[in-house]
Amino acid sequence: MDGSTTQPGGRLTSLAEVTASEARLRTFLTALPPVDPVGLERRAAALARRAVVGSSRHTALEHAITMVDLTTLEGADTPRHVRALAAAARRPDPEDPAAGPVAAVCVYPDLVATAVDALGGSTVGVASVATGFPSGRTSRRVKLLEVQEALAAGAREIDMVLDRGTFLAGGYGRVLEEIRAVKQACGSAHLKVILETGELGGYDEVRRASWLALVAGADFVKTSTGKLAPAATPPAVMVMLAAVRDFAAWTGHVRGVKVAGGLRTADDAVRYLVLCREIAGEPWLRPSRFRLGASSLLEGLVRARRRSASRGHPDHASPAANR
Amino acid sequence: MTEGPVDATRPTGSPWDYAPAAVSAARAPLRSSYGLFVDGGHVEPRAGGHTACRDPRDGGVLAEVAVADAADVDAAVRVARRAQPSWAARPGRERARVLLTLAELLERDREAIAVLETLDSGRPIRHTLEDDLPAAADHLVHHAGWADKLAWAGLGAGPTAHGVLAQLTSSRAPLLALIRDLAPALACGNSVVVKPAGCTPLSALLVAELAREAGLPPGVLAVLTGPAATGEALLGHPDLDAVTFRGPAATLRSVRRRLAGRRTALAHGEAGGDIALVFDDAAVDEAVDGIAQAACCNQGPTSWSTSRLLVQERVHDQLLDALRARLEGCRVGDPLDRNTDVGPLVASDHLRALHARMEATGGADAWSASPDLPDTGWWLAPTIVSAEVATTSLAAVADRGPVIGLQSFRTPAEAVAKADAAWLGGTATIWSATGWRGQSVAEHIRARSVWINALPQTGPPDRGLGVTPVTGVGTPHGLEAFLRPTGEVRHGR
Repeated sequence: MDGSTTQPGGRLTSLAEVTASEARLRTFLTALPPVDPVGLERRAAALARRAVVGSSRHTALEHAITMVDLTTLEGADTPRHVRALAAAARRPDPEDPAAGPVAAVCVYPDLVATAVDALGGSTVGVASVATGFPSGRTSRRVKLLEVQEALAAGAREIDMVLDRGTFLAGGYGRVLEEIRAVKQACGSAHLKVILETGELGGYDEVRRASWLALVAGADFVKTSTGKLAPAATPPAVMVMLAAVRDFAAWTGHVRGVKVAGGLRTADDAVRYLVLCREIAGEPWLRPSRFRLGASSLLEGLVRARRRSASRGHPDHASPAANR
Repeated sequence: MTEGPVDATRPTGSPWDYAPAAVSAARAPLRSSYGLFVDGGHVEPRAGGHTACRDPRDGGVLAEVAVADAADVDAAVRVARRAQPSWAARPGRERARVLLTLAELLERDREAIAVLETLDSGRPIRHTLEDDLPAAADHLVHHAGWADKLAWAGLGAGPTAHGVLAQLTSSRAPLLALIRDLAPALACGNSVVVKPAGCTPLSALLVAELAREAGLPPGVLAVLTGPAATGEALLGHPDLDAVTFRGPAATLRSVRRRLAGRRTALAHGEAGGDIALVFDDAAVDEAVDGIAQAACCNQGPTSWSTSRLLVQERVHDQLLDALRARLEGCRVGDPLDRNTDVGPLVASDHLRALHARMEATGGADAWSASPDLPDTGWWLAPTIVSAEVATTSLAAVADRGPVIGLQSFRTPAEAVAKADAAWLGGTATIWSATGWRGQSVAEHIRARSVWINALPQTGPPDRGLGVTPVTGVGTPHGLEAFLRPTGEVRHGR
């Protein structure tokens, strides 16, 4: 696909044309179809009632573990704490080597070197936040410097924050440039753009920010920094999944979605997997295209997986179960 | 670089799908044989015998149900006539108590009733259990609230009940269709003789038993099962005061004709499916989801189903692609499985009628989703027919199954004209994010009720729908269908 098929708004446009100027970009973003919040939330509620039981629940839990970005982003992080996290990342279930490992570990730039060292030889990636996480309120120069330092320390994934202030003020061109600049600095490392959906003000804005990030070259769109409530919500994630689905249909490039913030229980994780499957589709159900960013979630997933394995995947469930 | 550094192979290596999550059929209180429900108990039919009530999943026999003939009808109506005055004479709050108790019983036996309804009608358990039963209970509670406030219903200080009401209900969401007319009818002091649709009689029989348990006096509610001939016999009975009807548009027309010139009033007639109009500024994903739910889930959360779709040309192709993708994602299968979206059709006749009409549209582009359909039973995959030419005949049957007749339009005026041209008495849903556009089309289109950016709703008026219908039937509460205004004289008695 060459990226020049019918654009979501119905007119024939290519990716290159859309980003050719600020005016073109603005027209494209504002012409995206609106989101009907009532219908969206109703569908989110209906999909939350999908009955994922027995063997399919077990499979979901196993997938979920491999999609976790085990995260620690606290002011109080110490190297020892990061090393403990890395150990859990490599071997989520001490009693069962078949579980996991997780997809990646996510830390602040100054702890990347520790994480890389602790994870040497494993398949677990190292992701670093950058660009003035979590607010993004610092200069372009400092943002790029942070990215470079993280990469130099060995990070292979960068989680940058969208400049919400500029976005909400309508400076789409500047936001695009910034993402492009960070992407270029990333080189072959993969870039996630954190939209901070809870700050954007509505589902239409989430759609617009998702498309802006994708058009600018983000590999992943990520919901939240986890420092703000509300963090990830099912309807917002659905809007982002629809965006990557439609972006892939339009350009042929497959991008991913990361759900971060507010993931506490195994049930939460399974519900998001259901959303991924039903909105984006089966091809997105893998760690290279769907991630769950969380800290305490992993223990919950491991416990649930153990329970599910010990039950031997029962086939029937009464309607009262799976609540 | 779109693939990250980690692309772990998935643990099982095969696509992730939901395991069967079926509710057990044994939960339904199914008997092998049912009589008619008259005068507070089951009675054997005089001469009509029994007929098989079939399971749409495989065509097998669920139970034997009685066939009521003219003699049975007469007996039931006489009993209803005898019981009605004392029921109407009761203080409203006592009638309210009965309805509230019935609502509690529906709650108590929720699972059992939902499974029975699913077995009988093929409607997915997700909808019967999570939508229909609570909605039915809500209707009962809502109308119980009116039972002692009829003087404030806007019909004068002393409105009276019609008397004996015949209720002919549909096979689409049979329980909900039954309760939606039964609740106000009983609340207003009428006695009701119900003739459920021939292929889905079981929930009506169960509700009659529960009503008796809730304290409804014997005779006030009767259930006469049987085929169309039973309905004809009931309609022809001279001692009816009013009739309510839900079902196909053609049948409603013949009901009106049969009642013409008689003192029996048509209290409320509902027929015709829903037509969805999608404008170029619609929220595409939500519109597609709404249409898919209301259409392909003919057994969906609404008892109106979308049978026609009018799309503005500019977004026609885009919407069609999105709709096809969404319909492919609909899970067609065992209605007792909690993850099923689309169950089987209610009756083999419906399947035959749909196939026949779709062939008769001869050459119109028909696209069908491609789920794995079981070999036995009455199944139809969600289908879109581009039906510029054959709209009316297709619309008349399309609402029996997951079939959508698709047309396009260029301007709002053209949309309204095309919608009106084949109007069968149904509702309309408008998908447009621009406020004034939705309102202005709603004002011009012929429809029983209009929704804007929402699924057709079947809750009682105050059920917090988020969207209120722009046009409706008579007064907002619809009670005028079940009451005579103060001072209106009843003929012939």
